[in-house]
Amino acid sequence: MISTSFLVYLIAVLLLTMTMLLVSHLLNPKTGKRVNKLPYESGIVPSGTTDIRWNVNYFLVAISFVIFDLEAVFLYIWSIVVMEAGWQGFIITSFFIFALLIGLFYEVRQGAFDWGKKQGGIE
Amino acid sequence: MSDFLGDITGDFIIPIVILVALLLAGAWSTWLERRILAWWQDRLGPNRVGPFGLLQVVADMIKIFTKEDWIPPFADKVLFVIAPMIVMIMMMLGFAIIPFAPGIQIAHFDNGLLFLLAISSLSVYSIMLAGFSSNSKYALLGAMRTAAQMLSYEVFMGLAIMGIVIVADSFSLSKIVEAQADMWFIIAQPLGFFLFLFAGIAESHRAPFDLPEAETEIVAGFHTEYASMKFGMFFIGEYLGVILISALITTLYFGGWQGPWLPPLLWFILKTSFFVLFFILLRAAIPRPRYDQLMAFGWYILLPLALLNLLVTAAWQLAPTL
Repeated sequence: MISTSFLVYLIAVLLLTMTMLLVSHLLNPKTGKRVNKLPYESGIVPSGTTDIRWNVNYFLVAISFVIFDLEAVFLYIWSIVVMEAGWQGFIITSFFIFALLIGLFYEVRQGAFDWGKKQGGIE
Repeated sequence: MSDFLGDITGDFIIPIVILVALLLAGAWSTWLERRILAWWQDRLGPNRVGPFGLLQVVADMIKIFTKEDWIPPFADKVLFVIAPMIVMIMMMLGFAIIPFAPGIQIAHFDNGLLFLLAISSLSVYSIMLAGFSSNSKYALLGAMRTAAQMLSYEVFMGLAIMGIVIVADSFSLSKIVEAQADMWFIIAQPLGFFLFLFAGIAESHRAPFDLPEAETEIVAGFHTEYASMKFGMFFIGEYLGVILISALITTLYFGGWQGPWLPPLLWFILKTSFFVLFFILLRAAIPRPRYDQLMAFGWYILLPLALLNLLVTAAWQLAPTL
């Protein structure tokens, strides 16, 4: 299944990326005079930590991804056996897809993808 | 003896030659983009080093190799080094299943398309790891944006390709190319093509969907803290991504290496170059949308369309059996 050519390619790619990093590490000019060891924040002194609060929309996108990507995986299997499954399979799958479209419609109505709108604040 | 030579060619020489060709193509497409973008914007672009500025890439390479190899003291060091490696490895591995010409293909996977979807999912990790390990706010914001964008567009990228699978009845890319001998799949799957194009632009986070690295908002996004060759690897990875998506569009929708008169490999290169130029034109022509517009476009419009496209394609294939 996995051919020699793929293994050769995989090893060559791994070696290439490591060599690139190694060469750049060896040619690295060691100045040691760096004054600023702080994260870049447009030239001003950085303030606060990176432990910031996230918009809840990111979480909702992650959940929706799990739901719809699982659906997609079922559809991958169906798409290779469309002819074998026939019209019966088609009707079952369209029921499945419409159930998920209703789910998507519900999510949209709930405002899952309304990015940037202030909840409970001034619009 | 000739069998042995054939094995050596197929197993060792072809993968290495493809790898070197990809590296050169990835490196010189940076030059191509700068030149052509400049041409469309009525500027000159890099034209000093070598004929037509062709050696600019070599100069850039020397420069980027001799830059200070800075690993920020506030970063998570192991993940910080691994992240740029992942993006390059994943993009390179994506090319393993592409049939460049009859017989010139690295891995003959029967489930090539599934392998490809897995690879494109894994490349999200490099950006997430880069953003989180940098421990910098711009990097983190860029990484979260990228993750949400790529996850959203990945869902219907797979669904758009499944239209092709239904028509060709195979996950294998070489079989898909052979199935297009009479008719390119762009004719059978026009909607699927546009869905895949949008998803491809978003997946390779190129303009106009380059929100992850929108300079005016979040500096350079997930690779803000990167320098030297580690930055260069993100850069090469991005251009390899553009070439990979162009090669996929060619393979899936425009008949791959099929074409009259010219040799197959040349056809493949010509078609792929056309789409690489198209990607550059997009960057020159179209402004960036807002982030909420991008997400809304994906979830409200493209995902339902991808699902309906799948159903209509299946019904079309099944219609003769009524």
